Amino acid sequence: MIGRLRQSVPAYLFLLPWFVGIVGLTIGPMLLSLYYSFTDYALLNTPEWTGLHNYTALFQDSRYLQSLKVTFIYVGVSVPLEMAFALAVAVLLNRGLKGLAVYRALYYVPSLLGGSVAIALLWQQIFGSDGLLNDVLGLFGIHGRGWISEPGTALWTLILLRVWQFGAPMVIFLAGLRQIPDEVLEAAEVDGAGRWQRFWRVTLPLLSPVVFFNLVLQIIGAFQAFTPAFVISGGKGGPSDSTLFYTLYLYQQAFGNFRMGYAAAMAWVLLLIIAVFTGLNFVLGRTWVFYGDEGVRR
Amino acid sequence: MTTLSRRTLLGLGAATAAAITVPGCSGKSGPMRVSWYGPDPVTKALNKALDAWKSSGGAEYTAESAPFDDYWDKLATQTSGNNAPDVLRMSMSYFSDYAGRSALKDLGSLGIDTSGLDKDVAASGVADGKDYGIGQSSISYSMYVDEGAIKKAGGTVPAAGWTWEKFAEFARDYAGSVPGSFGSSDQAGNFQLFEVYARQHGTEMFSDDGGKLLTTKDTVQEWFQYWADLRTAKAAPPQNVSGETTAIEKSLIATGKSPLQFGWVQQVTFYQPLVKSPLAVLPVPQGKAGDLSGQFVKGLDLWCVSAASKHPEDAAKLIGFLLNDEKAIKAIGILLGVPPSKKARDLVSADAGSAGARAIKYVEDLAGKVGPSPKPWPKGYGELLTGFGRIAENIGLGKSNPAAGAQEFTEMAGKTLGQ
Repeated sequence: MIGRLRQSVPAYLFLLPWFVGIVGLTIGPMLLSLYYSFTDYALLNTPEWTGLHNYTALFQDSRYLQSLKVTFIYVGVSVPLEMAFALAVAVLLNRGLKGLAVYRALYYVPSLLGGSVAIALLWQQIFGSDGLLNDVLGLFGIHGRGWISEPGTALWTLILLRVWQFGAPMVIFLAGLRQIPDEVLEAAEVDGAGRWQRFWRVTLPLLSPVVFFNLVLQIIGAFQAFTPAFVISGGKGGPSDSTLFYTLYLYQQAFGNFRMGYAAAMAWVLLLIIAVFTGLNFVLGRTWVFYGDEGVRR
Repeated sequence: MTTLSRRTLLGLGAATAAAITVPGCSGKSGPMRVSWYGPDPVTKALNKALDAWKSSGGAEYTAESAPFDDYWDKLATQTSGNNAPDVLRMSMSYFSDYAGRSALKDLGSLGIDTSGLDKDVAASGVADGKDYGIGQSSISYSMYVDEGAIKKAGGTVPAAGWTWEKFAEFARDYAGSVPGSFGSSDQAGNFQLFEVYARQHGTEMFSDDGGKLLTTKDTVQEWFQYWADLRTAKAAPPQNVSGETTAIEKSLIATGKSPLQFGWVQQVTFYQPLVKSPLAVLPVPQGKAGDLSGQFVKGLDLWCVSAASKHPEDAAKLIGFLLNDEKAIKAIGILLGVPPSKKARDLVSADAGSAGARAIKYVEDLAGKVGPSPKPWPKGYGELLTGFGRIAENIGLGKSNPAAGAQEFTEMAGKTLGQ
């Protein structure tokens, strides 16, 4: 017994740095934030226990509800569009193009830049009322508008920004497509399946685990989007709260209005929302994700 | 092949653990840190003043700076982490938030020389009998006028300012006679200009204890309606134009699309480099002609020392240096506001004809004509400041109207104040 313990001591020692990290930097702060979410905590004072007050106040806060609405539209529109776009480009690139590596790298670049301040500023240059887009529209005699400064269109420029960052899911799709055995596709061709049929009936089902993986990741990522809205609206979520992302409002409450307890409650509700969506994904996934081992009893 | 002994491993593990935890300690005591907000010119000026501090044998320091909005996010985080800078620039907008939560040191016993300072400015950081900060400047709200543009359009602006009615009349005429331009930028969301307007209606904006909004809902509604009418008349720009012209270099006055802009008096030096003809600095519009009682002169930016400071003596010395040393005064000029001592004002306004000299003259002329200074702005002021702007924006976009906006604002004030 003691001999075994002695053997495992070095292992635990090696684990120690990781353990200190996860407790000190992840679990500890998470538990603290759970505690704060039940308190009135103004960042500079000692927290005061207020029970569920923060949670009930959330749903009477019209700006909170607005931030939910904005975030749901953002997730609901941008994720499917981004996925479809990524898949389409991946399929195109998978057709034995010369210089594939170059294209793959090029298309991946926006994913690397996308979260950055520079890109958000670029977006302002493109979609401002004297921006590039309006210059181009002007060539066709169309009188543009301030795409970012009008509440009707501001969110759509952010959705476009996300779709433009299709590189990361695309690379994963591409890897998935390369895994699909040529024999299967050839067999389908021999059986007389057309291009569309081969894609819908063979490629897509075989690719479904990868689609599922991307979908889960993208939904989680989209719910947590922050930087683009923060930079493009100057941290305000404007115009008229039309780009008030959930995380942006959380940030405003925590660091602008000193309502750390309230913000902590928001964070936990967001965690719950993401958990529900991810759970739902896994449940629904059973009906359409095909792992190829469905016949095997596990 | 050497094998690691258990002892070596233990040591390694302990060292790793220590390496991970040590940087997390806040017990370190490096050099004194100085932090401020403001655009680039302010940062350049303060760095120059700090160079003078260093060459006169002052203590080691490191400097941090950020634009106004970002500064507060950062300071709040640093303060809650017990890691606030030693010397920090504090705005009256957030002063009560910090002083009321014991985040600032009482400077009373640190012996900062304020003998040369104007009395009300030196005392502007006193709360509950303790001195939490020393005014950097005395400032007042003002209107900047591009007189060259107005002369070209054949108009005039009275030197003593004008009433709100005359102002609206001017704005409409100007916009009508110069195609593609507006009489004034839209100030509906400007909470600080609104405070002057509110005081012209007979009461302070907040009760003395900061727990209540004294300005009535009707006054708020009247204000929102006033600017809505100007927008309808095309004398002020529509909201989508205003939304894209908030930055100084994109502002309507900088691009020649409007001859009028509002701001704190020292900010004229941020706009002046972008406008060809000299900007005149005038009082903001009044309720009754010539009655300036709505305006006030006050120290709205302070030098403070954080409660957690490990270098309070050096911090106090540095503050004294920035306020009193000739080189520091010259380096800072009026970028932090009109200097708070006669000596400093004389040094700075030596450059007659500069925007700075005009700003100083403006504040000196106002003294005696303005109303009493309001109490320090209450806790939650920062939230009302941004909320007011957001409501004005909603009205400008047609998502709300002056009556509903006024209702929303008074409700917000009821919830935010006195917490």
